[in-house]
Amino acid sequence: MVRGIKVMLFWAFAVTAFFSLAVGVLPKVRYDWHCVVPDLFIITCICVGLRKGSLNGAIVGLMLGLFQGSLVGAYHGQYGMSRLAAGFSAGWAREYVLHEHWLMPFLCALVGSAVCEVTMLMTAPQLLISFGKLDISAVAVALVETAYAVSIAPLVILTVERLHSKFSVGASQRKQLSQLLA
Amino acid sequence: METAAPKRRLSRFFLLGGVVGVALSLMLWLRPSASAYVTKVEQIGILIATPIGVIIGRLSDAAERVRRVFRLSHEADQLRRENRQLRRRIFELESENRQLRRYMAENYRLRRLLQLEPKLPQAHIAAEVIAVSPSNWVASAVLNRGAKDGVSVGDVVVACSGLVGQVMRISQSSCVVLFVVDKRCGVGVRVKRNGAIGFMRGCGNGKCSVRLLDSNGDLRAGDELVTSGLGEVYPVGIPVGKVVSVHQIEASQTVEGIVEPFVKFGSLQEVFIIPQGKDVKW
Repeated sequence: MVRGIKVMLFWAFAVTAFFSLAVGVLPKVRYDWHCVVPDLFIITCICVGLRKGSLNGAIVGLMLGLFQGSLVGAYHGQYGMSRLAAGFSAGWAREYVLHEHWLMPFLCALVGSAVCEVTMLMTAPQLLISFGKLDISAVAVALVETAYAVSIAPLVILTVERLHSKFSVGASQRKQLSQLLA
Repeated sequence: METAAPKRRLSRFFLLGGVVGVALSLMLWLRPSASAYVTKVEQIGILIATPIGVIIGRLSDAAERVRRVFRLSHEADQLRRENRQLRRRIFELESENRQLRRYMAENYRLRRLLQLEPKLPQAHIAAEVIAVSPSNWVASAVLNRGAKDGVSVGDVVVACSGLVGQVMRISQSSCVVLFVVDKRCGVGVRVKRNGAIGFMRGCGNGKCSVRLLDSNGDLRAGDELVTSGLGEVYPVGIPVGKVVSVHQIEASQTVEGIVEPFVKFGSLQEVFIIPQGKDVKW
């Protein structure tokens, strides 16, 4: 019961923190500092793909992409499609190509993010071609977003795995103790 | 046992195919050109984002107030001095304002004599920013006013400091405004110093670029830009931004300036929507 409440509180905190950062803080930083900020939606899709597999990554990616698109006001389906591709490809890379390697999270994040950016630019070419010319700044934005995802997603995965192992060990020990007491 | 794995793989394949199919159909259904009206899916997203935006806005307001209180206690002397200066300035501006009102009445009278349509101020719709676009590709925001408040697609959005952008999409109770710094946004501008006309468009990195229509036009760093009103989209005379640097484009023999907008889009909270086609006195 207490554990359930703890889990609920943890998820409530995690979701609030995610939305506060993704929708509140980072867009403000972007306009105040005139810079490209990490796209937490992409990073989350990649992390879910890495942790829970390609299918879950794809579903979460689609949901988050549609939500992000609804706030942007344009390219809704494109956002959904590209985030789906990110979650799926990150999960797929882990399952079939780069199983159990120390570089795995970095490379999976790279694959997921690159696929996401390419999908985004392919489905919404007006972002890449501005006034009839190829827009180099769009390519730069894509590269910076990829770099952010490659550097942040593995850190998130490592932290989550560390936390998960800590809590799961604690739970198994409690179970053993309760069995012994019984 | 042997057939379990291929079966699972097959069902997984069909499930994934279903997800991709749903995504593709949503992509086609929600493409930007489909409608200017916000769809049900977007409404759900906006509904989720509204309380988050409001809470973040209130929290940042509260934090700003607390910080201001601490700062005020340290800067009391400076504030007193500033207060005296401001009182003087108010007196000057009030007298200037009286003079301008006289000119306005005279202008109105003369325009009527010349049978020209008088430029009267129209009602604005006050709106609050619910959420700023969480994407590096598009510079936009969601406002808490929609079709039921009289907002329509193409309406101009301004803040106290200057031009914000144009309404791109609407729903019954919200609308999406495209900022002037977005790559897809273009504004006809006039240099305040010499009246030269130009075209400004967003760079996508929080700044805009401006080119004058006259290739020999005079554009300098520090020049202030206002809307020209020639495109018949934006009303005349709304402050837009300041030119921060100017460089020559060799291919077209014209000068291009980089403009920093007056509006701070990161801390935008309250805005006004001006109905499209209505002229405004700025």
